[in-house]
Amino acid sequence: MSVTSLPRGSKKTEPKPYKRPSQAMFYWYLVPGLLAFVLVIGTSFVWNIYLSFTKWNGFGSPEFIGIKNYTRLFADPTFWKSFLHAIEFIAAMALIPTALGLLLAALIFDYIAPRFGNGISTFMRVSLFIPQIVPLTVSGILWVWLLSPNLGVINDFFRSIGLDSLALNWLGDSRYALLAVSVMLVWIQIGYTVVIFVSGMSRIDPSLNEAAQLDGATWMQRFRIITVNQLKPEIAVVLLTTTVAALKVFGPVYVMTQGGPGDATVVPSFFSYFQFFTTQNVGYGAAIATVLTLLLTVLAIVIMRLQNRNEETR
Amino acid sequence: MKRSTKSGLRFAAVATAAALMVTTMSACSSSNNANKDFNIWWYDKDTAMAATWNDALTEFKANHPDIKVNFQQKTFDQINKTGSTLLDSDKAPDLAEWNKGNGTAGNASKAGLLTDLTDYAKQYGWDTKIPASGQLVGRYTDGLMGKGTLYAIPTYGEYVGWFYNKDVFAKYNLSVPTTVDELESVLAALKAKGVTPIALGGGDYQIVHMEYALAVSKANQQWVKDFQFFEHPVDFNGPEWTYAVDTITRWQKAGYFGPNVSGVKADEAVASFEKGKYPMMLGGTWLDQDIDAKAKFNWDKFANPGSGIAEGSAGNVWVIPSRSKQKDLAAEFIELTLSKKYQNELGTKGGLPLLADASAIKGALAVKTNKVFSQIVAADGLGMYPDWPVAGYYDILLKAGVQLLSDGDKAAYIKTTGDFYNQNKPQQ
Repeated sequence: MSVTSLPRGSKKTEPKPYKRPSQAMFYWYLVPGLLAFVLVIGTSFVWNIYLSFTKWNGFGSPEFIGIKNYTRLFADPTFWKSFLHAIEFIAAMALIPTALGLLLAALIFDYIAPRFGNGISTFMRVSLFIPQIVPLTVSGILWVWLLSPNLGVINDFFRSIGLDSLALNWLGDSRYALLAVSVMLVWIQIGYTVVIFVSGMSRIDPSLNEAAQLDGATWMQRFRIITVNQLKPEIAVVLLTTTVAALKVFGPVYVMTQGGPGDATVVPSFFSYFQFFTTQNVGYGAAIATVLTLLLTVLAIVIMRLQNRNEETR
Repeated sequence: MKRSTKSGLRFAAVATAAALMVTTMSACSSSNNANKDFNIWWYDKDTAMAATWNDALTEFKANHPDIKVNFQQKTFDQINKTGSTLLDSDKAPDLAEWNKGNGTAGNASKAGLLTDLTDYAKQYGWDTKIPASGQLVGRYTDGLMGKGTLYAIPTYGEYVGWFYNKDVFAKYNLSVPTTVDELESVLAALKAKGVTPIALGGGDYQIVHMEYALAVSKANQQWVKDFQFFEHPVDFNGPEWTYAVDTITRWQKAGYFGPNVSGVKADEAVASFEKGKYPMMLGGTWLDQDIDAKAKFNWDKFANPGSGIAEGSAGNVWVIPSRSKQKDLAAEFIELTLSKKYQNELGTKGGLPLLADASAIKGALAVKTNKVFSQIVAADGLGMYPDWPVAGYYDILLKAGVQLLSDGDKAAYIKTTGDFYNQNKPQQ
């Protein structure tokens, strides 16, 4: 029996005993995805860019006004404030969940799983992940009640342990609203980061840790030097996705504060939504959305380049 | 790029485009059984209106056994936020309850999405039967409410007034205030006795209503017309707006509201009034039924004293979308809800009918709430609502109100609310 030559481009696959199918056949499989992309994302995206150059209230036809929406945008203090809040949310949705997630994942993987078995470790991972599954509107309403200054459980708890000064008017005070929403965001994001890091840790060669332990390294040293270094790809992915999520955040703000008090918790996507549906300045809302998309695309490219460069140097 | 990759991509693009064309064509040719269906929406729920309209709909169904009546319960938010898109689609109903105001019914009428009801009004006599001040929530010119073509029909009214705990007032020998001074002394007296007087959902719509109710209690009818219909520019540093802002901050400093008031939701405030925790609450007539059911004490209502102008208006309106396929049936149902039978029923259930026989309205609740309404109507004192003039104003007023209760910055409130009004009002 003759063996045909290996398919070009593959290094490790076994020789196939049949004729290599034509590459063109594979493109059929792209059609459903391309169709969905063009229909849902592509056309709306192009339409949105067009609308950002018009003045429209949702009725009748849009009126072309050139770049007036963009000049208005760059002079609008609320717009810049919304970006400031989005960047502040990066701490709440990306940095803290990643750092905490790493620690918790290491805890679960290194201490809890070996000592208490897989059942407990799975239970912990699942419970941490539940906030990701619960519908956002439900979590939002739940947190509004938890944070209620006079009736909520959180303030009740502070009062019961004598910390009355911490029983604050969380969502009703512009000084604390952003912090309160941030806590809820950490609660949501932590499950995601823990799950990714735990699965990443199972790929770390255990001999590295054993060798380090034999050499007398503490848990902290092993965590810092081995775990964090080995998990660099996961950390990159998590940072990218959570940063993008932080810049795009809408649901929690909508349900909990509607951007208030005043504009203490306004974020770009909420500001855009507000222009689309509430003040009916559709063109302006479209301009905000376009700028946000541009910024996110640039950010994603930067982070992915950094990740690639990091991988090349290993 | 490789030839086969290039032709493969080209092929995929063509296939996608072809599929797109097929799906759009099939979407366009969807048909529905238009002539046998009557689609009606409203968003009143657990109110006298909803109950009365349900009864009217039952009679309507009996009168038209050959028509399939499809009722859909909507919410205020749905109509406010996505109503305009729904009217402009083939999902538009045959008859719907709609939000009165420039940003909602006004915009819809301007875009030609509502049927001009002039002919039906002549046919059924609506233009003569309904009081003129009531009709103006249904009249729009160029999308602005107040005069012009009749696009919408109100069937009931509503107002914001003070609910009070009669037992507590009796305990401290307080009588119902009829002037602003008397109101201030009642509040001070309660506070002196260690009772926090006012239940206020400061983190919710109640702060919006309180601000406007106080403003119009200092205003005259011309100011209301200027604010609502842009007859003259409004000075937000004038006596009306500043009185409202000063009073709210003064009341808060005096401790007339509960703690953390900017974080209190309306549900919480209403519940605390019903439990007897606070003896007074400024609230809308949509709360009548709930309070009647849950308050275990003797309660009553009084109008906010001052100029005689109260926050209130004719209620939400019936509209017949232009895309309605059953316009005659829709008009017939509107007339049914305006008939003496159902207007009287509305009154007896505690609603505020526009066309009922006063003598026919029985029941303790109905009398309590209707007597204040007729007092306001007699003084030609319907001041409407603050979010009507400009689209999106409600959200701005709410967030600014919460901010005011949070940091007491009166100048910031006046600037935020004034600027938004001036930037977004129709540029004449």
